[in-house]
Amino acid sequence: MKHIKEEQLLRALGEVDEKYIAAAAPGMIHSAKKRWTRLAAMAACLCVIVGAAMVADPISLWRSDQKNETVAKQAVLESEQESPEEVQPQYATSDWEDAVEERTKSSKNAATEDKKCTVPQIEADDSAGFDAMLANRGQENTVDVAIYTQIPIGARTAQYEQVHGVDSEELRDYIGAFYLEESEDTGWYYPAGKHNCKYLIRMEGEKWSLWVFRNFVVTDTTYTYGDVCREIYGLERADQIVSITAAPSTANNTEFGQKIQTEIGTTVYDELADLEQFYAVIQDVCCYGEQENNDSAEQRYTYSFSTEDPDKLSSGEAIYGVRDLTILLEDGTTIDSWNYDALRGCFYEFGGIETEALSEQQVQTLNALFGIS
Amino acid sequence: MEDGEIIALYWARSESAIAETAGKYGAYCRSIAYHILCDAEDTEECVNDTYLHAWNAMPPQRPSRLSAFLGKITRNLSLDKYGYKMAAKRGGGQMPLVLDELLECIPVQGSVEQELEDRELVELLNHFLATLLPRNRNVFLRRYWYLNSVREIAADYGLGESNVKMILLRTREKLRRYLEKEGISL
Repeated sequence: MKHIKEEQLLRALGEVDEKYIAAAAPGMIHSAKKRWTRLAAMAACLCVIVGAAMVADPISLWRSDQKNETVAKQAVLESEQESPEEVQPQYATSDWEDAVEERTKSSKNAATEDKKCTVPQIEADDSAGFDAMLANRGQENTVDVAIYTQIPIGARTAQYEQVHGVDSEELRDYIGAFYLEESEDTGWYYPAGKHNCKYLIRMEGEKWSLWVFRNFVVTDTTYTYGDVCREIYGLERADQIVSITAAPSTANNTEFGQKIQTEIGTTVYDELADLEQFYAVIQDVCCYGEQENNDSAEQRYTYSFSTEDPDKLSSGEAIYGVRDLTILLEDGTTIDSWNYDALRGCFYEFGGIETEALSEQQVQTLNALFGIS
Repeated sequence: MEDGEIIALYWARSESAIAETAGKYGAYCRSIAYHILCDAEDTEECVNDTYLHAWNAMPPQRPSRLSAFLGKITRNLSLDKYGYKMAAKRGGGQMPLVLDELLECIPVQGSVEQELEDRELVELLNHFLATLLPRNRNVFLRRYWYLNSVREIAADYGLGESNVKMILLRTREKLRRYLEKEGISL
């Protein structure tokens, strides 16, 4: 145990990072009070879905939970926080939406913006360490409670899901730039070295938790996968994609299903022409979020592997005709929640999230790319 | 005048650097010194000494934030002066209160002890400050860096005094737990 005296602590405080000193300087704040009247609507809305234990294959349960169950319990935190309007910081939190919009104008420019603003940033830039920590976390399939929260991202509200198996103390070592203040003792941070919104870290008092983007909340308007690319992943050009890995669906993991999976195999696409084709298709694909989607509900396309069996999973068609996609970006981030369904001609994600039906031309493009015929 | 231009004057050994510094940051430095010393004469002396130290430091130094650079000098000089003056008895100002409050941040003494390097402590403090929400961090530093009174902080941030006290209390408690976790005691 090392010891200090209060005078030493006072002296040491005098030597802390100058950016903190400048940000706190008298005169940097004026006392205009602004009530966050919109905070209640935009604040974290925790939705706790208590479902049956998710076991070996959580996927089907997820989809079933979303489509058939209405056990979601919502609790909107009604807070009317008073917050000082900071003059100097670029990200003055005079308004929740403004603050978020400012941060999410361009994820690509986040690093530059962080340099300009006086909102302090932890020096840790170990994105590789964060990725490794994520890879080594506990298995999710032992979890029976999924927790969601809603965060304003630009003009939209995004739904995030808590990532289980991440220790609060361990997470503390991977806190990156400050992102957003939610309330007096709750705030959001980027993971260390990350400047996109795929993962965000929530600090509530002494507790840290990790959240992953799930979808934008759809009310009157929908969103496109292009919006997701730009606003969540900072992906604005095809050449920012390093590769796309297409693997057959593992929804049917019986011996029969595994045999088909082996037959199809996993393919990695890293030719720019392929990446550009894919990127062009997804730009305008409209996603309905968790809203019911009828236009791709019925199977519309037939292939060499098509059968009369109405159960496309047990017939193997849902393996032949579906690709689980992992899109690796140049900053190491992966988009790994999209699945291409050639049978229905759409994308879907776990939790009942689906896109509109693609055009025939778009389906043909993707089928040619992923070798589905 | 922009900070860069003032720094350039120091580097050019132009005496107008002092006048420009005094014009732009005199009040800032005076405020820091007065909150520690609570004495106009001593304050003025420390502020003038700040300019002298800045003159001697630039070159070779080229601070990225001139305000904080000067503020640190003023703060250190003021703490030194306070130490000399109050060796025999404690005076007014925020210092005695702040020192008492900071005592709460320091965990109880452990069995095996060794002196903690100042640099190590500063690193820990930087890490701790980075984990605070911006407003709470600013309130904390306004109290323990600038030694502002609770009333001043409350007025500047549009908060109630009790609210400021609560933020400070929670942050001190958080710092105490953090230091304890890092193996630091009084």
